Amino acid sequence: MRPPLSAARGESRARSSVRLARAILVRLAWLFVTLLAASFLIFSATFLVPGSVISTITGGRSLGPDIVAQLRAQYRLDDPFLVQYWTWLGNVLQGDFGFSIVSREPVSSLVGGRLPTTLALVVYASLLVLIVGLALGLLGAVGRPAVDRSVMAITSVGIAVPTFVAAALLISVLSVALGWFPVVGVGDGGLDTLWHLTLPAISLSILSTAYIARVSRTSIREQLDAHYIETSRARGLSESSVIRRHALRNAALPISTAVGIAIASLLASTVVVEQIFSLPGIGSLLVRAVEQKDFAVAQAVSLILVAGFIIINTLVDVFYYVLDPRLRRRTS
Amino acid sequence: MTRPATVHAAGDIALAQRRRSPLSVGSWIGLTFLAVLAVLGPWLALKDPNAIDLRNILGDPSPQHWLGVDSTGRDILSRLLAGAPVSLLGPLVVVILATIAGSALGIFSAWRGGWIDTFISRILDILFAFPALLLAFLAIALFGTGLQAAVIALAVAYTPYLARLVRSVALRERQLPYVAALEVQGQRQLRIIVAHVIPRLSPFILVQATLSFGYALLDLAALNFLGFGAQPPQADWGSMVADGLPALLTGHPYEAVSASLLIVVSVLIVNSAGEQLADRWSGRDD
Repeated sequence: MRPPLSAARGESRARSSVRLARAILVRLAWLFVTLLAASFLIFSATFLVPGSVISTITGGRSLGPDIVAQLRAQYRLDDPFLVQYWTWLGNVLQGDFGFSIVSREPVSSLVGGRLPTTLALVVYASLLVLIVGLALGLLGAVGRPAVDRSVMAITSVGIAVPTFVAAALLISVLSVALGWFPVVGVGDGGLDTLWHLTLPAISLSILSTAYIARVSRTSIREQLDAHYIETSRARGLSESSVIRRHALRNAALPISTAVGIAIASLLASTVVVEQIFSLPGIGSLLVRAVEQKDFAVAQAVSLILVAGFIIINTLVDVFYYVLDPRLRRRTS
Repeated sequence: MTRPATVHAAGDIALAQRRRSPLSVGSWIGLTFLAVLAVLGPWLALKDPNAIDLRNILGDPSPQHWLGVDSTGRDILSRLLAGAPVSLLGPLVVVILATIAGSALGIFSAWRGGWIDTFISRILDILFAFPALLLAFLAIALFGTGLQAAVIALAVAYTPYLARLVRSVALRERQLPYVAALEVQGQRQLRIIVAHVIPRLSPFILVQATLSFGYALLDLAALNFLGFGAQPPQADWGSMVADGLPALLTGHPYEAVSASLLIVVSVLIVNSAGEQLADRWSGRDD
């Protein structure tokens, strides 16, 4: 005797959600390990540089002996290496990234004031990447050959255009020649800020949008060529429901990996965009810190950007498990 | 009566040519153009790329200066040509270093297996968490600006990407019967890898390296644009876009636009060649 169908289904659903929870926990544990390792790499990078650690921290400046003594105490340079790392990490976790050697301000206040601008820009660009990229990809996959060819041509160029070239072009045409958009700055909040961030977000998103469009076009097309799609069509499902319920759902896996990579890579390119549009974000802060050899600031910004990169990719992985029941079965 | 035969022969020849070259004629022309620019660029520059002439700045194209002059009166065409090696060979060095290191790591890891493989894979996962540009910023913050630091940092950043890909195909290769057969014959592992595995994987590795070149060129150009790579007066396309930006905004587009175009066209040429190789060698077109 087979058990009643509903009971079997309920049991397997409960088991599957336990597996899902376990898979997500494993992923979060791995997130923790990766973050720890990345912070260790960023911290120990100081020790790779030839010459004394103190001269790296000060960027080769000659400072008064009292300041050097203060720095030595702050970085615990007289302690063993691992103790130094541990102290540094403890401070970082409490939001203390040390002092900027240039402005003598706490790094946390420098970064904190600029973080919202960068976040707004990256979120804005991510939305553009998702909406435009997926729309273009779908258009290429289901459109007529001529449409597909234009999508491929546009995205080939999109992948070849550096972010800074796109930015320069957009500024010169849309801001300077036509006067439609402001050239620099973030405006005074709300809609005005959105207005100011539009061109930076577009420049930031072009490369990733083209990448997502290509990946989603290819994955959707691969699904549409599969046998099960033919079966669904033969069953008399409408074309739009074949695409929505079957092709898109299966194509979502490779696409979500690509989205993770694309959005995470925005975090690196935001540095270039903020610099061109003179936006007060942590990207332009990083450029200034590198130019001025302000090591504590460069270290803090790198750590934040790498952490953002790792967290986004973890979220994508978790999304993966939620999306694909087969993966849950495989992990047990 | 001879016509069908001729058509047939022509068809055969076309087929044979297709088989011989994995790249289209357009790709060969494009790649040759880039190679000539990269190697001979500085010698093709008719004028001194660094000669400043403050009496003649931001001039439009003329018979003396085909692409005009920049904000300090330097000949733009000569600067584009003189900047070609940095702009094209720089990313090439990045890709070659990353490919060698990545292939070695990937094959070693797949061949050893066990905890060594797990350990290397985990390290690669962690390095993978660093966006290439960010690793370069960090390296430049530590070691100072300069083309060498930028190239090495990018090569390090690209290595995990290639290593992962090579490891995945090497793992599959390791399972194939011919490897076991050679092992039974008493061949040394290193010899099997060098004489059999690497030649068999090389099309795949070449495709990945070619497709990475475009990204390396964009990343290195971005570093040069920000002033972290090649230092003045050395010309390169990325910093020419930066130098030409103020002029572009006041209606003198020649420097910024011509340097931008060269970057975009170079990436397009190499990416298109890479995609042709991928199509041909992955068996999708055959």
